[in-house]
Amino acid sequence: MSTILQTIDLRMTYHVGKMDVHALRGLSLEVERGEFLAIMGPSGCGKSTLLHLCGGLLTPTEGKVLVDGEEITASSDARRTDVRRRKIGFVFQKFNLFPTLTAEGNLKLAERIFGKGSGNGERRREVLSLLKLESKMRHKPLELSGGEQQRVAIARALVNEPALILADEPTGNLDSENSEIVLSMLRDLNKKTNQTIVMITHNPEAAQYADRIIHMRDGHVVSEERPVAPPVPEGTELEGVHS
Amino acid sequence: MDSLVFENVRHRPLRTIISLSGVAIGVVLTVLTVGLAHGMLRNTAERQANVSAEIMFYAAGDFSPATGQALGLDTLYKTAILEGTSRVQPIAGVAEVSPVAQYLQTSVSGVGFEIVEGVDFASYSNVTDLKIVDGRFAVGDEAVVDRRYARDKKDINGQPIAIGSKILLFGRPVPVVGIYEPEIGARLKLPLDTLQRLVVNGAEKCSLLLIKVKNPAEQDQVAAALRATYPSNRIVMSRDLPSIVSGSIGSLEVFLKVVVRLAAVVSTLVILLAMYTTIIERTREIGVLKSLGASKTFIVVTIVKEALLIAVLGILVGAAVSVLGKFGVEAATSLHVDVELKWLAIAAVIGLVSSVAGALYPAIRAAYQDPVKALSYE
Ligand SMILES: Nc1ncnc2c1ncn2[C@@H]1O[C@H](COP(=O)(O)OP(=O)(O)OP(=O)(O)O)[C@@H](O)[C@H]1O
Ligand SMILES: [Mg+2]
Repeated sequence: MSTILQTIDLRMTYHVGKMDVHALRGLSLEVERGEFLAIMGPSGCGKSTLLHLCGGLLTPTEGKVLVDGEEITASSDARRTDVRRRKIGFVFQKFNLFPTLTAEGNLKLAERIFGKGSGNGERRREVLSLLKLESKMRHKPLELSGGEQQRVAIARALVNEPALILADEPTGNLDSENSEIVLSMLRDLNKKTNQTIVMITHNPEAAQYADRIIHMRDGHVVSEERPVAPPVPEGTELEGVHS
Repeated sequence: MDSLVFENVRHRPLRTIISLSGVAIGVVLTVLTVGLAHGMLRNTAERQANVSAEIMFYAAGDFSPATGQALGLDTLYKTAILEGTSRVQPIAGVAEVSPVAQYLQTSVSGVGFEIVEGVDFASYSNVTDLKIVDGRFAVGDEAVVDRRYARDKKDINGQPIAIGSKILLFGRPVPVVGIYEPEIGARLKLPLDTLQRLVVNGAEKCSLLLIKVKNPAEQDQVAAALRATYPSNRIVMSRDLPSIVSGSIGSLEVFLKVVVRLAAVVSTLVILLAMYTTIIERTREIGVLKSLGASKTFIVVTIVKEALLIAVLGILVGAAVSVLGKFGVEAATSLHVDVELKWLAIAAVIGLVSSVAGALYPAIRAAYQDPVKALSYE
């Protein structure tokens, strides 16, 4: 197996007035191609910071990030943007769809940014059907449920076949039923297409869908586990998933 | 069409309409102001073409009817030029001399001013192409008007002007007894002696003499003789009039430049404001674009495209309003407005360039936004 994402002694210090906030304190991590990794930890431990650094949205104070063999930390903003465009699909807690565009329009926009011109209709349909959204293609975000919106956001992240999906609490705004649907789809995606996924979650049961869970605290990885039990059987309600 | 750009323009109709109006106002301002100036110039030249007199003879100094010394020339000059006096020789080669008095009065419609001309019909028809096409020439307290004036203006009862209609002249109702063609000088004409009676208590005064020479090829010699004999008078060649008029409105060219620049500034500011509020409102979306890997160029281009789309709509609206404005102004006043394709094109280019200029700062600001902060913007 090859490494698709690697962080080496990653440190991130925010300066708030005269205060230094150490969000990450030397974090090293490796993610294998085809892995579904969950990151857990208390609020403020640096999970989002880590994800943003991996996606090149931030530059670390110290340390390195390698995405699919490309070092992005030392490079220019333009270069990092380029790596992000080619290799990474982001999924956010707040969906972040373009409200004026239809589901398909949101996908097309991602394709246009990727540089595929008017895009690939077949690929869009394939991704939308993978997320069971065929009938929602022409709907705008406000005409969709939260779960559907998040699935469109995942479809948008997938449409350009990124090496890596980075998801920051993708079920944080969903009820348990929709959370379960989205999580099963992420897992299916990971199993069927070997899509690498790194997902932040607060919910232990959501984390059970992953192959591996790392626990963070104060900017460090404190422990790591592999869910032994097979992921939650189909049809089981996820309890305690907050929105 | 870029659907993000298109949908954004559609999604905020009020913002789109306001910013589009800014561009449209710029276009209308440019096209109508220039059109008015050029219409005026063209009309002057056209009217002048209907005067066959080659030389105009004025009193010393300015010859504008607006200067107050409107009737500053003695009509006795006519006799002196044609027949000579005890002190001066007659001028050789002159075929006809016609005295014309010009007076500026409040417009018949009550809006603005208009020139009223007192002419000596017998000699005037020899030095111009004037023809009475309906009725007869005025005698005493009567007036004649040109065809377009009759069509465009209303009489004291608000009716279209026809033979027998009364119009307000020097504050009194005066009957229209004739309609003439083509347009020459003032559109409202009285007998010369009537105007003299009303303005200068019947003194034998006029504003200028129209002089027709026997042989047009010798007009320069005749003019030279006039200048030699009457050195303090102002002698103007008819053929020079259009350039004199455009010269006298040299300050108009300056004004036009100011208007055109003002239009550009208005468009730029309106677009700047519109796009600035837009990018603030869409901070989060810009963060999302960045998370999708959109480059700075992509973001700048997207925002500039949106401004350009608004500008194109504004230009179309502005062009339509300009054309409507032309007909409106021409129907309501005696002014001429030339809506020229060239100036529509110039106004369009100004609209496009200023919208790009206005969008650039917000666009660049958006492109340089911190993506993480933008994503957490509420
Ligand atoms: N832009 C910033 N400026 C200053 N401090 C920041 C900034 N972003 C994050 N922090 C701080 O860095 C630390 C880590 O933040 P981060 O958002 O990565 O936490 P998190 O683990 O994602 O938390 P949560 O689970 O609440 O989302 C926190 O203490 C936070 O206050
Ligand atoms: Mg977070």
